[in-house]
Amino acid sequence: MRRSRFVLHSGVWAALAVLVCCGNAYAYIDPGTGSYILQIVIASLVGAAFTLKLFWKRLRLFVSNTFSKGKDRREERPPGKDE
Amino acid sequence: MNDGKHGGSFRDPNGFIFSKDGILYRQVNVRCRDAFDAMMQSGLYGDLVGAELLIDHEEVASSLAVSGDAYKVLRPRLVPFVSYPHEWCFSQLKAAALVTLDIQKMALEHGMSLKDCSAFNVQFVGGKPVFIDTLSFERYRVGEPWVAYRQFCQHFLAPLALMSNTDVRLNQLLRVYIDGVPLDLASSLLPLRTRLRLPLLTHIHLHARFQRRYEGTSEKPQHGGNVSRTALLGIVDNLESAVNGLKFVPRGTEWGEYYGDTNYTDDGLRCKERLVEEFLHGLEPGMVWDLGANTGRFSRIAAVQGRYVASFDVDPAAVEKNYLSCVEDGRRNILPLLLDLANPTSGMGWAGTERMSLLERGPAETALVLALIHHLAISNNLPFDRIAGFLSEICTNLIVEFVPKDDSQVRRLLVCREDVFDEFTQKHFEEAFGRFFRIVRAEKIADSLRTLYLMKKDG
Repeated sequence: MRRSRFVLHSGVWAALAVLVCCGNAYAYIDPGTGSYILQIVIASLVGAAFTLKLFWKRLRLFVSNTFSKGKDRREERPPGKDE
Repeated sequence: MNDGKHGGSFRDPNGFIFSKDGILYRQVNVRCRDAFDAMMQSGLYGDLVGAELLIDHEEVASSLAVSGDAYKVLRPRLVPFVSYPHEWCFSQLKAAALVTLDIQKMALEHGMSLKDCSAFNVQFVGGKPVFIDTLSFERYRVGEPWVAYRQFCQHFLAPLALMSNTDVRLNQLLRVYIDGVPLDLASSLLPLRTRLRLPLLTHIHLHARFQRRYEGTSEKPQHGGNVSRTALLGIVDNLESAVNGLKFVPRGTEWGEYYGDTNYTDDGLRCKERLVEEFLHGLEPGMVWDLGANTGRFSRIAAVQGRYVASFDVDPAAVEKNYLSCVEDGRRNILPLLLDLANPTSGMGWAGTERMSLLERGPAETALVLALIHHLAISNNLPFDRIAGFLSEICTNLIVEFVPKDDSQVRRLLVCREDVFDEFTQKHFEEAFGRFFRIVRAEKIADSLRTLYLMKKDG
């Protein structure tokens, strides 16, 4: 069991190592290999979460704008003209 | 060779800070031409300066350059008082972290990226954290991960997480680790519950593990194209959530409730405030260092007179309260800072000259030393002449309070220890301080046994 987990982990790490894709870093700051790889690993997940978050924000904004416009329109009606 | 280059400005081959005839300049080297022009022409510089996120500069004659590879010479606006991350309270470090992330977001919108987000690149100007390194930007390269991600986690996220979850005093690790808190150390010091919080699990614990796993990698990763701009914005957004989720509530420390725990009557406190105000009025304008400022009650008196005040205290809770009330009041000329006067910041970094000591950042025009001498003399066993000698190095004018042994606060300091302080008398105090300063005024504080002195250094 332990051996198969080790093999699985090694496989994942090896696959990640192969997938490492940072180009020439021209900056004088050492980005660190592990830090580069971690970003690559989490990129699609956080990217998707960020896209969803933006979508959700826009949806809420749209709904609240639509709702408040309706409310504003009701408030703008002259008194006594409500059905 | 003395070319005026600043001791802390040598790592970046793109340029450096130097002084000429007492004026501070930044040289931009030819190799940075493309990135610098891109920053200026993309509108990033204008937007960052407009949002008070980046220090502004003016371009001056290139003839001022100190080496042949200069592209431009800039004269940046001066920071009123240089401070360092280990001297900031929790909310100051948090504000600096959020500003850094805002800058990276704005940079990405302009097709640029922050390549160096050291916490030392942030300074407090007008009460707000502002990025000061104009050369820390590069063109965004499609598919590339964020080159300064590791640095952000080590300089900001790890110390904030430790201050919030373990102990607020752990910001002092930034004094030891000039390139930020190593993530394996942060991971081992953080409590287990932080592994249940996804941002901290990812950016600290998992990050530390990845660093350990790949530290021996001898082959350079080959090609790019894996981290989209949306993913980069997602990482920045995730880091922002991590920082925003960290809290520190100041309570239960030594001085947090000091003003509610003094032996002053209302009249006594008013008298002391009036005397401080009166003493300050007669002095030249200039910077004030309030040593042992607590939550900054007396710093505000100097600030109201238009002076810039560095408001130091040893207690993180007091500095936190001071900073938060300055933010709330919109007070732009007080900079609350953490300082242990018995062990002030010394020169740090390479050759001990990369970051300035406290003394190098002085002298102040005036030092306020209120209700502090007895702590230095009794709690730290410091003789009066040593205290006076040090104070004479950091200021020209001194407003200092003497609290005698009969005062209840001093009796409290002696309650559990033998009184070996035979020389702790007002006579010895005046003799010792008289060797370094001229005593201009000495006034009794009403309803107390205390005396407030105004002293000046002659010559």
